[in-house]
Amino acid sequence: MLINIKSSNSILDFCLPYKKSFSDLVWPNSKIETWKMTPLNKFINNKNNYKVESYYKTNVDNKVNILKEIDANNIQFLKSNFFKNSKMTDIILSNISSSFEVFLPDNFSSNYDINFSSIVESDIWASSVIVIKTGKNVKANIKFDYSLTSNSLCTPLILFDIDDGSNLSFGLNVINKDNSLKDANFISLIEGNINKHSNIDMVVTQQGVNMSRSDINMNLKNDFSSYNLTGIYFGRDKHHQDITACVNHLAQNTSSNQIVRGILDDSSVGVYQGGIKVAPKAQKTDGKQMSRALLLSKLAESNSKPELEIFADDVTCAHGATIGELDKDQFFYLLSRGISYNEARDILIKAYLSEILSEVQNEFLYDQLDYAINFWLDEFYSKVAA
Amino acid sequence: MNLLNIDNLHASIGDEKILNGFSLKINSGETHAIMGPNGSGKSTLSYVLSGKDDYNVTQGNILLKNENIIELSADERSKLGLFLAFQYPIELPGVTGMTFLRTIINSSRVAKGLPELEGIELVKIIREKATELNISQDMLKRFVNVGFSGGEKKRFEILQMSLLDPSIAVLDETDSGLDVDALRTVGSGVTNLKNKDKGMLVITHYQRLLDHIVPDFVHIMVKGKILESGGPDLAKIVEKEGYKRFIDAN
Ligand SMILES: Nc1ncnc2c1ncn2[C@@H]1O[C@H](COP(=O)(O)OP(=O)(O)O)[C@@H](O)[C@H]1O
Ligand SMILES: [Mg+2]
Repeated sequence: MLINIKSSNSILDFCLPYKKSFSDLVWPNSKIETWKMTPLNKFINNKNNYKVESYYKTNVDNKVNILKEIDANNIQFLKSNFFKNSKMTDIILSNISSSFEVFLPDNFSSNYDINFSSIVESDIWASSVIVIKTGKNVKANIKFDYSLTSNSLCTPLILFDIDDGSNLSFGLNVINKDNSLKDANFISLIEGNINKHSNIDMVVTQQGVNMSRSDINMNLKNDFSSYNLTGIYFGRDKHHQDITACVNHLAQNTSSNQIVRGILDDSSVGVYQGGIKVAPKAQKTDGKQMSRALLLSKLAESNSKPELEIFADDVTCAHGATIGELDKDQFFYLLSRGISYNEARDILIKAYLSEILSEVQNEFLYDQLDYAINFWLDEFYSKVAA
Repeated sequence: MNLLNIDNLHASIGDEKILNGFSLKINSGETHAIMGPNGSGKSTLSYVLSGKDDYNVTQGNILLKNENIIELSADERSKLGLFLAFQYPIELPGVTGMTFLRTIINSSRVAKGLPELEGIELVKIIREKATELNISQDMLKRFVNVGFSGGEKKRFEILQMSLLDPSIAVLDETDSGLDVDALRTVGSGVTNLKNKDKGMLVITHYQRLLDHIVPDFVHIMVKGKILESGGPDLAKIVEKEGYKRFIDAN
């Protein structure tokens, strides 16, 4: 079904102070953003002109009653989040075209995956605020697929509020609808609070659009909460792909694992930036973040900036970022077994991708990664090195 | 028939000269062993033979079945029947053992002008050989060499060798990291592959592998060339006295 939940008065009131026409917006440059490697003003400026409009398709049955308009409680939650300091939040709130809440009550356990998809047509700016809120002991799978066309802009702001004992699997996937896109830009802001004994497993895949940035901030708010992210981006042409991922450990015995991988061809640019922050009282934190970018072309570029900020003493944290071409020793090993250069390249690229799959056990999320990988392999991957 | 003829080979990496006039001929049916202290260039020799492109061959020739292979790439050399069992096998995360073995079998079959084999047939052949080498089905499901023990890595090298059935195999320290039982398994695995048409070059540090793979010739290699050649007895002398005697005599 197509959803078109009217923005509530609450959200309209809330957004009122931010209201601006597109031509008056100032897109953030590197200087004013926390994470500096994707200068949005280089990709979007007032020359673009969009009609503000968006819609989602979903498989959620109306009768189930889990889709709601955003109410005053949510506004309270919106106000308390720390996107309020972000220029990008201001921009999203300046022109909201859809807003809704997915509310999963106590003990909700869906026997189907909750899917949302949105196609952003040419000359459209789709800007939405989505709140995903659970009661206690909820178990659910939720997925958002975005598909962009030329000269479109998509800026979802997605907020999670996960109550105790809940388990959420969440996927966000960005692809191109046409084969050769011009000026398709995707910028998401994702933030959430995860409470006691709750967990979010998340997958983010990005490909095919000219610029794509997912900026994810998760707060492990209460003891024994956990969060895992597997992100993958594919770059080609002059595309710019950014996954920015931060986690805040705010309570004891919390754990996080953020894995981001990129594969960059042609003159594309990949960005991974992010961090693990551990608050003074967040003892027994276990935090990991790893990023890897594979460069398939001499002109491709990858920038990464993983950061640790630890104020507790009893913590285990690991982080690292590697950038590289296909491994020479692996190449030689394959060649020495009689495998030709191009076949060896093919094997190693697919190995790199299947390695990331092997780290995801959750079937719902695995399928999304698998789809994204195969989409890339089918559409853009050239078996022969340039 | 002459299988491998290495003639006055000089090779360097960067500014470092590592092979300094290395010569060796191997005929079909022969097993040669090269022994030498650490750093004498044994692994370098194996890499230069198999076509790793980090090295500069500044002088000399390598003939494989009378064809000069100096200009050939590693895969072309493999297709001509050369195999290297690596001293340090390379990990291939993301590539499962079974997939890898199926790929190499079929590409070598294509090179030999044989038709590719279908899945079931391949699996059957692989399982059979794997069992002989004490390699479990479970190991074949894992990524190649990732998390393998030293002995597992070496057995997996020999499995590849037996599946590719090369005319000449170079085994670089295949004994290191093996316990006595594994040594016996590997030894008999290799010995099974020996026949009158094939040649073998066994690089080792110790005499013990040579109890299992009995060589026809033993060569002592120091500083990038052969100092002395002889029969199996030479290995016994090394075992007892080390390399000092050979170095002093030269
Ligand atoms: N990549 C390299 N760069 C520089 N020197 C190297 C490299 N690889 C090996 N060597 C040097 O070449 C010599 C021979 O090494 P190697 O062939 O591994 O000997 P062996 O296998 O006999 O122990 C050693 O002195 C070693 O330090
Ligand atoms: Mg060596």
